[in-house]
Amino acid sequence: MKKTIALFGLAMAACTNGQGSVDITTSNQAVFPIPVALPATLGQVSLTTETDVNLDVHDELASMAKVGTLSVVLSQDSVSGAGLAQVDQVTATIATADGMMPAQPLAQAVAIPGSAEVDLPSLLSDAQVLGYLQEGPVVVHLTLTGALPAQAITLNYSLVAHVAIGVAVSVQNL
Amino acid sequence: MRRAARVHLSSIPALMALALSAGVALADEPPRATWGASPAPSIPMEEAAPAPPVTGPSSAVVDAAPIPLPAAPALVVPVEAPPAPADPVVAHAPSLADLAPGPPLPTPRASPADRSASSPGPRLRMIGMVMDVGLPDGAGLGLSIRPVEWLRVTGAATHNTMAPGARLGVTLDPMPTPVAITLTVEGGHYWSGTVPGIQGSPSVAYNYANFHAGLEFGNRSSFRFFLHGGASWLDLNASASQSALASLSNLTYRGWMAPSAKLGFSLHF
Repeated sequence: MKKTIALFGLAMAACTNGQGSVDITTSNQAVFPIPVALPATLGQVSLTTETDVNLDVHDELASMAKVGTLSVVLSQDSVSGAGLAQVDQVTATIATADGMMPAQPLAQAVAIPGSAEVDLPSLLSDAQVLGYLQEGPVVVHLTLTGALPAQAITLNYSLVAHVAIGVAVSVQNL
Repeated sequence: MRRAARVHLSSIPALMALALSAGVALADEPPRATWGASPAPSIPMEEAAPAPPVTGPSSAVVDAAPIPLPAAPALVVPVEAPPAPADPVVAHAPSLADLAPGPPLPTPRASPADRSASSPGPRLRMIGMVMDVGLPDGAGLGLSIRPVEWLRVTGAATHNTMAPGARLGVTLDPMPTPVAITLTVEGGHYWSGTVPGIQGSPSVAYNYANFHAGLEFGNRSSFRFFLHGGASWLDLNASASQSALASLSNLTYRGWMAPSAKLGFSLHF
């Protein structure tokens, strides 16, 4: 019995030293209200619509941070859907839901006419994005502009973060 | 002296007759073998019977010193003496039977030390079983083979409460002492399984390699209880875990875990 307890204690005291990785995927529906007209520019009529998407991967990142240092690479940040056919431009900002971290431009992309998916290249560094995601729930504000139809548009917003973890921790914390 | 010589010359015919009879006797005697048996000892002159003085008509001949005849007495003895075993000359003379091919010469007997060296010794118990529990091995039950005394090759079926697995290993066990230090290298695989009792638990599979030093107690050739400890290399993969707002996928870990340990026993039949 004592040996069993000793072995159990040894297992709990065991340390790991290596490299872990995980992909965090969020996929949210973004429902854009009926577009409104922007002030005419050079005689062109442009419509815009915007919405917020809430992301919360705070708990997952907090769990990973317990076992090692984190680094993140946004492997995918995109919007997709049939409503993109008439979208000229997509912009995104990010802010924490509690306002602790102010809104910053996250991405800006020009949509190819007729495409069903637009990649959003990040304007922030990966570390900055990780800071927002670790802080708490975040709000991604999406704006569509273009010759939009006079109806609500539903798109899918996807964010995939590849998180690398430098693991150096006791097994009991895994 | 001249007379003695003359007397001696007069006895030459008789001596020649004796010599001829002795030559016949020698011719009948088989050739002496010089191998295998000890050579017939030469008869020293002192041991030979003194030559009977040649009798003559004059008593002065008796007083005169006889001329020694070196070979005659030796030749005469076998002819006149019966082939009694007591006669050393006849006893050591090889017979025809001695020259016939006999049984092979007996080989020298091995000394006790030689016998211990050439004897097969205790039987090597090659086949056995092993049972152990540890981390990251889980619980294992398997087969152990000892091709030589100091080497144990094991293969085991394992289970980590999530899924079954398999493991192969080699243990170097060079010390025949009741308490011994061993070295073990093992590699294992666990198929994918979920943590029992946890809803939505990710499915985990992993490969591992153990590099352990061991402390073992008991008889190396029969039963040993062991405690192994060291480090293990892990290559872990977990499938997706879905939460309300996000999913985790492609969870991997590659790295060391130390210390890792296990205890168990091996039993060989």
